[in-house]
Amino acid sequence: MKLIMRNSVGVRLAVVLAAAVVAVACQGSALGFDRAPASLDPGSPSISASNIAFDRSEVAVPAGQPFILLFDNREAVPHNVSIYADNSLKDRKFEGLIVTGPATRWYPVPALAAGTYLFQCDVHPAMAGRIVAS
Amino acid sequence: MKTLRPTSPAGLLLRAVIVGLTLATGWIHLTLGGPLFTLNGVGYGVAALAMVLPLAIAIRLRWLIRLGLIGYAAIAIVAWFVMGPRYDIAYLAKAIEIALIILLAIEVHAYDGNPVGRIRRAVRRPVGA
Repeated sequence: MKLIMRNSVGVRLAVVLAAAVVAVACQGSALGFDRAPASLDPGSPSISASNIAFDRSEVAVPAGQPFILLFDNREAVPHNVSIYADNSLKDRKFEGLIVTGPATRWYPVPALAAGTYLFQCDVHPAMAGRIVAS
Repeated sequence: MKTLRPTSPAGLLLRAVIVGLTLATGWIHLTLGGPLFTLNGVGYGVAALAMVLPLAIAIRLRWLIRLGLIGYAAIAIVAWFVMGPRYDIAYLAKAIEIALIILLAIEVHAYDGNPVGRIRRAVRRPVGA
């Protein structure tokens, strides 16, 4: 058995992949509360998900101030909402905690400068829309 | 060290664990919804079936199925590394796939020998030739 563990290309491959997975796992920074903050503004923006789709393709949010984004996942499939600067997905402004529904999460989104952003589900990138901060 | 054989208790246990892990990660992918995950899950299901199918051609090509499943799991991990998502169920699926690769590598080492040499021999003498 020791010989197999030392010599197998497959085992070496698995060790490299395991190290990569652990490295990625240590970088997680997703946020999301499982109950509404006490100071929640009743007019807070919201997005819901069902049938592998969001209920809206555009969400308006206040520019220059943090806000709570209410995310309602209505199906037993994992979803989240993350916000990116643009379609390149290189600059993530906020990463929402992935949640398997039915469940609701309150995302504390940091202040966004005025402009248009992309939001998407990181599990199903085809689920996407625009956030307009103004 | 005793030689591992497909019909020995250790060989049967190893195969059972491989099939179990393949079905487990396949099931996880099926629960994620969307066409890509569904296809991935179905692919794992087919691979699990191919690992135990008692047909002559499946038995003759088991070495290729093993290598294919190693490649399939490795590609799934690399694709996840590139695209995500990063969360607990994904980490579990990747851990299962890494364990799967290790166990398949043990089978390859015990039953097939050097995979490169095996592929060369197969290319020189195709199936049915």
